[in-house]
Amino acid sequence: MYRRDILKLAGLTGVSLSAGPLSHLFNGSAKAYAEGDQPLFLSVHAGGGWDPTSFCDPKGRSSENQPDPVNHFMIDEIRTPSVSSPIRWAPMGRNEEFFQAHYDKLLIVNGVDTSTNNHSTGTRYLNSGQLEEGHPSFAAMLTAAVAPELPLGYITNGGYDITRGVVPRTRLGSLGVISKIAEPDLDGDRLFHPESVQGRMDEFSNRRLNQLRQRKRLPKIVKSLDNLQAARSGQNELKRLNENLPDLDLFSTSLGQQGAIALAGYRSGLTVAANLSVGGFDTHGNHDVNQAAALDRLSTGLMELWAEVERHGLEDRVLIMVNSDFGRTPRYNEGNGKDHWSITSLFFMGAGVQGNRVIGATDEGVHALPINFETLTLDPEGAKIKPSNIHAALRQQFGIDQHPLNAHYPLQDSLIPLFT
Amino acid sequence: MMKQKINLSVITLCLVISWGCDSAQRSMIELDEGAGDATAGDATAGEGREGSGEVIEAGVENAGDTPPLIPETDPPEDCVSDLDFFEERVWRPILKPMCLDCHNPQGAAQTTDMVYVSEEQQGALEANYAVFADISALDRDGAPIVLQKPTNQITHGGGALFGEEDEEYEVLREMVERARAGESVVCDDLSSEGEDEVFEGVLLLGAQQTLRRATLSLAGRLPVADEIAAVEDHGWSGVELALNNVLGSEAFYKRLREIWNDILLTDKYLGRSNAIDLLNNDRYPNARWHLDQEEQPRNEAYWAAVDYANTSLAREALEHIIYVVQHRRPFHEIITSDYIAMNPFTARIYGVQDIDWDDPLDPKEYREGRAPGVPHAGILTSPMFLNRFPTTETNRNRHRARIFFKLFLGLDVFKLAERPIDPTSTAHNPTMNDPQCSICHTVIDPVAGAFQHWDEQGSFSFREAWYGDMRAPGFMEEELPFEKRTASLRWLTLQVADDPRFDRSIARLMYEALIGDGLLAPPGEGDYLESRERAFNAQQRYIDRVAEGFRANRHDLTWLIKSLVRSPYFRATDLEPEMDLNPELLAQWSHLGLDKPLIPEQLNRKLLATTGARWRPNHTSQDYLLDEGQYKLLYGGIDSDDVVDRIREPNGIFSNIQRRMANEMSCKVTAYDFTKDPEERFLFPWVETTYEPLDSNGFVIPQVEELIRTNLRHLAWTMWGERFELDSPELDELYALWLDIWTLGLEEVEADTVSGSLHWSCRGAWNLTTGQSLPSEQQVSGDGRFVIRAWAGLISVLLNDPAFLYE
Repeated sequence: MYRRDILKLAGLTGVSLSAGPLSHLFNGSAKAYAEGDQPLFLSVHAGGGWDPTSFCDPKGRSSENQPDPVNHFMIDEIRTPSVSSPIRWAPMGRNEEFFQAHYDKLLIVNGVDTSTNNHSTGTRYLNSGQLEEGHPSFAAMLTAAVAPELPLGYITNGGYDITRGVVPRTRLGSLGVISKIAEPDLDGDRLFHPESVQGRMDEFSNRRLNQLRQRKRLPKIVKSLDNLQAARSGQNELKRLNENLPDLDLFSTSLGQQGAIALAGYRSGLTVAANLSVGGFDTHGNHDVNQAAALDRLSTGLMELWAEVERHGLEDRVLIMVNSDFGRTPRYNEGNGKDHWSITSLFFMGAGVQGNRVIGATDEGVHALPINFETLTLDPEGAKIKPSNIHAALRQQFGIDQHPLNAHYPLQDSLIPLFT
Repeated sequence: MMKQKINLSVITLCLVISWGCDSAQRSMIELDEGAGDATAGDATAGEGREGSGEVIEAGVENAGDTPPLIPETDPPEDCVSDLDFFEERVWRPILKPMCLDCHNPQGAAQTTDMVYVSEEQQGALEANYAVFADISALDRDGAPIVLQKPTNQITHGGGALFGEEDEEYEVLREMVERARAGESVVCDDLSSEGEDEVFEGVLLLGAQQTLRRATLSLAGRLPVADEIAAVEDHGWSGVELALNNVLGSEAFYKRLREIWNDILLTDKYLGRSNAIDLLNNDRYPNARWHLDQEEQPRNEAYWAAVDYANTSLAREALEHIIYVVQHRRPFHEIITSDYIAMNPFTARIYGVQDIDWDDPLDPKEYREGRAPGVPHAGILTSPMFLNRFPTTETNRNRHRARIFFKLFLGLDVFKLAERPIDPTSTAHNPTMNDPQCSICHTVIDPVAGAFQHWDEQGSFSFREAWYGDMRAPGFMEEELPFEKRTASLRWLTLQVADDPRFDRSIARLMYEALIGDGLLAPPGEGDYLESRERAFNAQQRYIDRVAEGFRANRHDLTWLIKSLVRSPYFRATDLEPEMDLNPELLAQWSHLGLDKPLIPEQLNRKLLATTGARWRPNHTSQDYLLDEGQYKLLYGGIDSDDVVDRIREPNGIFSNIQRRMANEMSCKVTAYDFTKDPEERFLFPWVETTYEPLDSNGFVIPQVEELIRTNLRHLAWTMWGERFELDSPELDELYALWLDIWTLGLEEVEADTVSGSLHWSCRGAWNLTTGQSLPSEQQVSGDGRFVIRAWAGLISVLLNDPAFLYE
């Protein structure tokens, strides 16, 4: 089919080509990942607590003299891509460039009640669906549900990356180093040990590991040896990652680089999910300058990331969730900064997302407004959106709502039909 | 049932008196093997072997001589203390599931007299028991209110929860009776009762292997001959002696710095002038003295001074901790001392001139120092600590207070409010007036006030008054006395040093550092609850006991570490082969065993200790495993800045790094080891490069085979900590591996598919420490018979084995 044309058409109509559940893509095996038929989940965390009123839930002031304003910019500076679009953004950072280019792919959820103003609690809630400790991140859970045996199944660059032991997590940093360890048996262009010798060494090591695994009986040690065996099973597969690693000079932001590495892992058939992160949002002082700088890094990074997604034609394979710890107060403190606020926003872009949409809202004091969970419209009789509602939707979207892990890590609230 | 009716304060006094010295104390050795399991005479004896008779199961009486930690008393038969009864019969089955949802500080019943706290809060059980005991005293119409409410005989917001005929009622009635009795039922709470049960069937490391694990973990080295001999001769007393040696060594202090940097993260400020830049130039005009030496040539000495100055300052808090431990000071001095450990470089930065140094240029010389005009409180008043845990104008030191609670009182304040709250509440001054906020702020704000004179840059800046819209500075219920207001932090820490929560918190931190896992969380609903509760309770009791011992031993950290090393938590290694592995028992043992790969720093030290060489590109480079640009972070390490939590579960990257390490190191050290005299070799003291086990006709040369086997045994012990007999199946397998590698390799050399010389990178041609070329007659570069490469292959296998890579 004429994919480019269809994409263009989809953009014009404001409907993403790839909207719809992703669960049909899964057949739950590492092999399927290796063949590139499975979706990739990327969780982008804006660390420190972003200010949605300076971003995707803009609140301007009505006049220069308005006392105690939410923001210093004016209401009439707030931008939108078109009269009919519900999407609006604040005139800060590179918001304009980002939203103009990508509004048609975005599903924004405003007025999310995190019920906390604590960094770690909010980050945990938004990325695991549970306020209290105890749940793995959604990315970890997804990896464990669909392909736990992949050696780089879950890549993390920070944010909430607790796994609860359901799957190992991997940090990937310097690419130069990765290329070296991808070929651990090579000393330059020669083998450390002749092939026949290496084969005998490997046979001994594998047998000993198996024997050790059979002999040991303490559950923790058994599990640890199982993890080691799983990790070693993918030793050769790092070579594929090495082949797919991008040229980092193409990216100006850390977020772009992190995303490109995750995409390389995915394209190598090794990765199911990744945490990406960008910091600097905890703007207790000099908010306007510092928050704008952080938003700039976020927007630029997301644009680089999406360009890389497009470069590889993965628009209908990659779902990105972007969130933070919580929001920021609807007023400035004495240091011209903003403190913690429990109401926040998040958004999705990519595969399975019907874009150019906004769900939920806040009032002028940045209090969350209740919505009807069936019609997704504001409703005084409805309920506030919580991260747990969103995670219920995510689990369904990725088809793991019937997986045993779902029952093991239950969510306390019902699903909000974000993706249908 | 026999009950022991005594007054709590009396028993406390008795215990304090009887804990006056080490010799009056009982250790966890009660659970250990006896000293007699070490066999004297054979140089290799005494090193316990997993699955062999040398590893003794838990619960066997100690025939040895290790002094007890806690005086043994016979607990009354079937004694159930009030607290145990409350926990097991009242709290878990009744109050927690039926009442806590409303009767908590934010719940619907928050304004009643019965408000319980979350189990996550340290001391929650005792606090909740006290609440119940208070309520039990109240009657209405001649009957306890606490019995009438849940049966709805008095109007209860939650309605009727059970009737008088139900078991819950009977249990509550007995609890009320106990609470009203006037005298508490206290059993021997300090016994190890319950712990033994958890460890029944668990195999523990013997004395020699415990020593090996401890020396590697704490000092990054293998036990030396004298230490091995001490354990052979004296059993567990020998372990104690050897540990005394380990815990006084510079290598241990290095590990201790790592442990505490994982907690304090002040290594963030290493490098360039990152630490010095944090200081307020007006307050510390000398801070940049070494950088301002315009006439000083920019030579090696200058750059050394720059590095020493910044490193010394960045590590100020860590070095203070080392100083306290090294000088056997009570560990609470890390926060209570009215000084900070200074070396000549930090003293000069702070403008301290009254210290008489032995060598004013020695960065390792530490003394007690007092910066002018600074009321010290150990590490808390270090600008490094204060910057790493910063404050802002609106935060008002609350972040610092939260960290203080977490580290030194074992209380995660956030967990007090780990329930949905509405911080957008419009209550006036919510931290004072909104219960959702005040639940935490009541706790942390007084301590935040104790930090009042320490500004955002971490400098002392005296304030006449603290914020009027916050709770007054103090600690718990006690307000900061006016006359103590200048040295408010020291006043605070002296309170804390008296608080048993400090003992427990430090015990917990050190447990986590040595065992690699946190303590078990209170068991929630789910399968095998009883087993999990048993494990949880035993671990809690153990931590309580060791914390009590820590206090009784004047907060001697080395005593605490020795206790942890001897504990079954450190030594658990397997299960008895005949144990029935039913799920209930497995749930009980789910937390036992050290299962983590060594952290990069430990693996790096182990490589050096076992091979005598560092893993690095060349002799001037940083070690791969310590270099953040190389493998440190990829192997799960931290940079103390952005990456602050370690990854301890192996992943694909880990396994490739391990394999590369094994290959590179075996290439690098094998020929190099052969360049040394046999008595100086780490790896090959029993063989030479000319030793081949078969003659030209293919017949075995028994003497050579025995030497190769002897060397393999040496390597198995050195690398893996496993002691094999020369004719054991394990050694047979290793020998067969060596023989196969040699045979296969030799065939390739003879077929000319592989060179008869070593690749240049694997030659023994340079001193790996200095980089200098070795004399030509000493160099090892030819390998026409593949003997060296056979050993290299074997070394690679040994290094890439879990026995080497794991704790």
